[in-house]
Amino acid sequence: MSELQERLNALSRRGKPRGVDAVFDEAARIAATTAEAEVDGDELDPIPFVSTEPARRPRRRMSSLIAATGVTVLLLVSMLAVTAFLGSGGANTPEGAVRKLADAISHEDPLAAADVLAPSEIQSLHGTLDAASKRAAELKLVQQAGAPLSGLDFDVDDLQLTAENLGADYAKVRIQGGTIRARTEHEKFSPLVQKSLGDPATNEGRVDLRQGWGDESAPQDLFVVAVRQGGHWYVSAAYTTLEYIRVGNELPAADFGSGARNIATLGADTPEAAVENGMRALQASDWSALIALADPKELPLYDYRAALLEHANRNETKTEFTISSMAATATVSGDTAKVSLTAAGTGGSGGTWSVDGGCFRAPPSGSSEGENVTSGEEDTTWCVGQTFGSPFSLGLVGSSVGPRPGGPSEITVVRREGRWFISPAGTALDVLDTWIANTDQRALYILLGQVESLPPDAVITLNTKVRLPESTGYANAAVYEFQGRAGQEVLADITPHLPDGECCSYNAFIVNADGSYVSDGSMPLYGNPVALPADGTYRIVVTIYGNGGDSFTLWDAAQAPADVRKKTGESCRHVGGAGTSCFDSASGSDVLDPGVVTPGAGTALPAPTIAKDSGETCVQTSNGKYDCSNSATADSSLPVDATSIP
Amino acid sequence: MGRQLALADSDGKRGTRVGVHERWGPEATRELRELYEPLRRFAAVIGRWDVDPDDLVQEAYAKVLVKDPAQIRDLGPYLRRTIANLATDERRRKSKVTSIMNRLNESGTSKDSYPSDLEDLMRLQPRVRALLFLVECDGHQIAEAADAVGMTHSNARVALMRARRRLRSELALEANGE
Repeated sequence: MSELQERLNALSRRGKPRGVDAVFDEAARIAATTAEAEVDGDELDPIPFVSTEPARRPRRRMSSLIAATGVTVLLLVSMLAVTAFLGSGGANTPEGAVRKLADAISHEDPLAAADVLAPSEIQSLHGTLDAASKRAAELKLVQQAGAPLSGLDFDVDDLQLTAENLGADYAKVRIQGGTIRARTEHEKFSPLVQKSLGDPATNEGRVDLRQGWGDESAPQDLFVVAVRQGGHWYVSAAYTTLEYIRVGNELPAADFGSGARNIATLGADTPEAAVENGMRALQASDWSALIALADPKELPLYDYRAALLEHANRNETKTEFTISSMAATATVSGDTAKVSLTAAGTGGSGGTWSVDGGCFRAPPSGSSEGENVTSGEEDTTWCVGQTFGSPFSLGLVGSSVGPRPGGPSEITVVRREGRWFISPAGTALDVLDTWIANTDQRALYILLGQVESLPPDAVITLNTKVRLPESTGYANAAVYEFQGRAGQEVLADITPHLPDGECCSYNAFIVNADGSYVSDGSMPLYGNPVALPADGTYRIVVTIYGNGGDSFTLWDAAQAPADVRKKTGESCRHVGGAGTSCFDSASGSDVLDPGVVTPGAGTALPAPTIAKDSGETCVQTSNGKYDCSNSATADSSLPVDATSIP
Repeated sequence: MGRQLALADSDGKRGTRVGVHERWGPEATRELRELYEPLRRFAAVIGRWDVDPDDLVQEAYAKVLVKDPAQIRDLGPYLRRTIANLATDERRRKSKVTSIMNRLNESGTSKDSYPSDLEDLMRLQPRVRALLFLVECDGHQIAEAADAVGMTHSNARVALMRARRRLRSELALEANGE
């Protein structure tokens, strides 16, 4: 047993087991007092429906609906920002503000919705989202910039609301009943988005607002926090979010309005000081000082300081890094300043970090936050304003060899009553501004998973090595044009090959001149060649999930080296939208090329005969399966009930 | 820990409940019980150090016992995936600093006091750790293991490659006394 296996086993046996009786019986007791919720179409805790049937499993599904919805919501907010900036809006009561918002949602009326969102929170969005609206129309993401929600139908019905006073100008509006229904109407989306959505069926979901949230033993009402500004009541996204965090973590109550009342004593003397003090506070884990530097009108962290500090204390939230050098320079324009920060120091592990304008380089670490594998094992540099990647994940900050030209490198700082505050929203919007400005049709095709629409980056010759671009990643692609002949089989290979028989992690499919997929999207990978239907020009689209800069070769299969032709047991196919489906042909219904079955020494194969690729040996493994492979470390195996092949 | 699905019907009354043992029957119950040990080991690997693996298993059992057995074709993968989701929920419930701050603070945001020889493993992403365990110790195929932890097959392959490479070099350093 290897050292790794020993340690994994040791980890798996940690703690003192309570035993199956105690655990299972308690679970059964809990289950007996609980019944499945009747939530239409929207599980609170999505439970996977895992099947062991040899189904074709999606390799990667682009959330096209989410992408399309996200962009249109972005446009919605832009409409809100514009009208909120210009109008007086609001409602006479806190409940009235929530009902107005619900009504606006039901009518998909962004202008009406704009009237009831807190102006202080969304005014800064005006410029950014106005640009987003125009850009989306230019790129044909929406049919009309003025109707960004076309295709989405929302209904909010039977709202039952109760307002609770939190202070002179603050109220919590509890939602004690009602339903929200969302529906997509495929044909109303732009053709570009329709293509990504794939399935033309109408989709619908419904949520019963009575079910509340939180601990199932004592579920709490959903709520929205409303604020009074200029004599009118508005829905506040910032206060609502912070209040959910507070309540969910059972933290002390907020001191509503304290940020505004004490604004003259908060912040910093200069824009540079705001940023440098913020860095020092972060380094010292002085959360109180950091909170005091956030713009209280934009993000009321100061009002929630007791809760946030308690939360930090409970979790012993601390940073561990040093600052060896720091310099901030500001460009002031009225009450706004842009501060460029250059700093360096060491991290907790002793590795160095640095900030240089728009790029942050972290100390090397193999562990990264988040659930996805990021591109670039050794790449610990993040630069803001990268174009590629989903804007709805962390894709706005992509790993890169350097800042993108025109990318933001500054922190936005604002002046309130003579004091300077860091503007988190302003800084984030600068990132978004750059992303929007740099998003072009190519980026959009990639975002929506329509890479077959991409024009070629270069013309290649078969059997010739090509170097892939540096920063390919989750949502980037390289497209190559080549000439093919009818019946010719082609096979893609990306090097370096990974050790231990693992194949590399990439997609590649071939597109006809008219954009349709060759061989129904089958990928010329893992030893599975794809036959070209006719003489002519083709494109191969390659996406890679590892380091960029690898070498790629499109082989005439008849001339490909043996290791390229080796089948790994996996086959992949491009499916509708952006999805790919890969399945292990050894466990699926597909049958490998029949050949002579040569059982391992001393192992007798039971009937039926196992079908396998010629040249493979099949050895029965300890878990009752047959491992048919050309090498000891290959991944394929066959179920014991494989179909007999004559 | 965690949150069970709330109970409601259109009249606001609790729905008709069928007893757990009536719903599952003796054979299915026996099958569930037999899964306890491998599930606990999986939970011990994928869960946070300060989370009792038995809590994850118990909650996974509780979630599956309210289901109709006919809806679940293979209990093992289903329960493993449930545990993986619960472990993720648990991690998200804890307050975290941002990714950048975590990199600046290698000791993390919680007081972990695991043995030093497990430190390398605990520094891996939980799902990658679980992937390694399923593939290296339990003999699962990569595809199966990827499904169990909720990763795409391609991501799982890359993640395993990197984790093995990194752990090999760290183990080698340890062996050399560094």
